Amino acid sequence: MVRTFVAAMMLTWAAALTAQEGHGGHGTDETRAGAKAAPTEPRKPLLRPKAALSIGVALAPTGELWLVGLNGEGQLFTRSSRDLGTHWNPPRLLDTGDKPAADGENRPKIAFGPQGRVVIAYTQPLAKPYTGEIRMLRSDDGGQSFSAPFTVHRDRQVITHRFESLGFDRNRVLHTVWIDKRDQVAAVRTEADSGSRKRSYAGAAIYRNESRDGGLSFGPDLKLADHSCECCRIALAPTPEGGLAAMWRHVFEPNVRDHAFSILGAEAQAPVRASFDGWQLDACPHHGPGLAPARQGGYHAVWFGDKAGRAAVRYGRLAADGRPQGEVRELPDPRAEHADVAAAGKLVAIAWRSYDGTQTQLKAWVSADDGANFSLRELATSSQENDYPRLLATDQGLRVLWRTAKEIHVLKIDP
Amino acid sequence: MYSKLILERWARRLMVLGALLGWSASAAAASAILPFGADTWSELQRSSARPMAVVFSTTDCTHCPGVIDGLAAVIKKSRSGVRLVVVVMDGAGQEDALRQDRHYRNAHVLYAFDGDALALRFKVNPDWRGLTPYVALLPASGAAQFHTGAPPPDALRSFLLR
Repeated sequence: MVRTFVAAMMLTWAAALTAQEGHGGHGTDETRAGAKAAPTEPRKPLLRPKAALSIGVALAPTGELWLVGLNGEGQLFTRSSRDLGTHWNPPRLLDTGDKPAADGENRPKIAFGPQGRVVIAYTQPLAKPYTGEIRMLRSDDGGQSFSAPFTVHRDRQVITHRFESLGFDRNRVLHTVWIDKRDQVAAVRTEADSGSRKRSYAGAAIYRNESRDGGLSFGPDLKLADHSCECCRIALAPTPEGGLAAMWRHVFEPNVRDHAFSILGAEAQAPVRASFDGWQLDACPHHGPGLAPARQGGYHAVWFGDKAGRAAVRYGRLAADGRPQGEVRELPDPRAEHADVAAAGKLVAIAWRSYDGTQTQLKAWVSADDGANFSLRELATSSQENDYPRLLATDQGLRVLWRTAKEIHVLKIDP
Repeated sequence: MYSKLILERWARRLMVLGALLGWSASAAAASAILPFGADTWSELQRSSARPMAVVFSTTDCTHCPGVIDGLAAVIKKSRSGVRLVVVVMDGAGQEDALRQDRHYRNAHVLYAFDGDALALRFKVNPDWRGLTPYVALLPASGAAQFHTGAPPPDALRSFLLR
């Protein structure tokens, strides 16, 4: 009786999934070109959209601290500070005509390049669920004025292009890297056309492109890797050679959501596996890694994962090619989430937030000896809604930025 | 001011109860989207409309539609009277988009969350680290069982047969 019930249930579940895949795949409304929603009259929203607190931060070549985020009306704005956050210039609205996403891992970004070039990027959600375009504004005058937004990638299908990260390398090349579902969508279509019920393409893909004129024009969309996780941020860090390294959550065979690493532009190098938690999961962690260059080569990395049933944020060192090196350590906080990492010389800091049921604490694990030993710091608390912390390496040491509904904390990390 | 808050709270409770008890056809029920506030989880736990399966979802969660569809199909097949409740964590202000997503129409009751996600996660289960879909199986009485992603067959079986 029980076995029959379980078998019937599983067949029912499989049938539900098959029906879904026949329309374009597991969780991909974007592929259902033929699926038409019942016509409905637009109604007044029941709730006001939540204020999106996620910010991107960067240092200008002048040493000014800049951030980009959304205000309470969902409008993109920048703010800048000449004294690393003690005083801020008033917010400056950027008229994009878009409704940028700035929730959690999918935050707006800002990057400074040579010759007064500045770029701001964000994801613009599209009409179909789970879809988006990577949009960018550019400046040639150090951020005094910005262009109208434009789409960064050549692929214009109404599919997922989200979770962008970007940065300039030492050769003045602007790299943009994002999560892209064109291959997953194509695979689902092919399988549907062939009558197959199998869903063979796991996850999404990582795509990237390059611009050699500060965002005026872009090279082709280039695939960095198949089978990335679909909803986690991509971490970027400078390489010792002046390039950029990327780390992202990946779906390894058979269905393991660990992390992969690659040097952008190194076409011959296949992504390498950078973490070995062995987390098998059919769900979205919404929790991407952090990456920073280490003083003596290689990288400091932080990531969230479940290893043998133990969920934690972990810290580890990566070799120059991204392979794990040495001991992996859990952060000393079982409730740590959304950690970031940065380094300045021998000083290494990992910052995260942690909720205790009443308030959120901003904490840091700080090392003065390049990651050999760490000490725990409690930096701030908030009972307001808050963003994930961002670390920034400056000429004057490390800073952590933390936006709450009430204010923006900028705190110095002392050795 | 205080009495207005009390009235609003009771109005919300009645709305929740009405939506849960008044469900008869899933497609019709899902067109109503209710606000999921700070007290709604407690109200669901106390609700006389249990048992229910509550799926916490996000609009960018690619695994959520499959779990919602799968649960809906299994619940329907089981004729267990279990209600499927979906809470869209980032759904506030996107109600029109939610209405047009066919997966959400599987829910007997569809909520858009409005509040502090960290606080809700802690209240639902301090071990919930924000992963979605996050499924709470609320039996007719007793404590909820929590699962990240699709509940395992054995857990679902015991829940539906209970």
